[in-house]
Amino acid sequence: MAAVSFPALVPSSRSYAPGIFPEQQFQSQNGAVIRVRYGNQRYSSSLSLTFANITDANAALILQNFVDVMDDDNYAEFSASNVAGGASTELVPWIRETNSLLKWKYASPPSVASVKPGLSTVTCEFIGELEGV
Amino acid sequence: MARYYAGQDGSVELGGNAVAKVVQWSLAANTDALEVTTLSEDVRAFTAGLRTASGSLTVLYYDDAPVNLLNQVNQDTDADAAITATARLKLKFDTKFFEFDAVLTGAELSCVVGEVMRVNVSYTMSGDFVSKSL
Repeated sequence: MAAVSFPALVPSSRSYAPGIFPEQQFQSQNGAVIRVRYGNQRYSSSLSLTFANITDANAALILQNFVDVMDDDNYAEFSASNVAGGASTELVPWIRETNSLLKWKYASPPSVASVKPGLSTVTCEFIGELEGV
Repeated sequence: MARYYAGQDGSVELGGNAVAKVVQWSLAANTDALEVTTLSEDVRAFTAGLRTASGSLTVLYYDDAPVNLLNQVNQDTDADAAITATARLKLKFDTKFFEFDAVLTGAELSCVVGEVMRVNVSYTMSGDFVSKSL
């Protein structure tokens, strides 16, 4: 497994969810809940990115990143200056998942919508998967 | 003193033929602004998108009425076999002009007491300017 750096592109919109913890809930008839926790690491964090009206050349960089990540057992690596661009320092470790054991994989292939000749809007969906546990 | 242009310099051609009794024409050209702001920026940024143009012209309804103009609006191919989906418009002022293909999107006839009957025709340009001289 190797890290593949994401292209130097800052998204125009970003949505992050930290995932969930592995547990099973049992709810009795009186409403009481019992949780059986199977681990102490969250998993399935999600990250949605939109790159609005970028050049087709930059859109191609994202598509190539998708291939480089998914054609082998690799993961995408973000930096504070690209995908986490604009986020405060407190939030950057969450978006990069450097504060967890999660690795970013593409949840689905990137979607490229052509806007006009030479310009496209690309949306990407990532999922954080537990690795090395 | 620099030459200026006034309403008396204006005229309109439809399909190469002058349209009689034109009172006014207008043309509004626009370019879409596509936002390219990223999350690391504090100020919105834009790039140029698609260009469009539209406008209107007003013609007095005399005996030499702009019937072909109205037939073009209504796409009345029974009245005029030469009518096509788009019309070639040439908006002129003196020796300067805009020439383009347009879809004539509307015609409004008004007959008002104390006024000469007139027709307002609106259009939307299709494609880019065929030629222009400014």
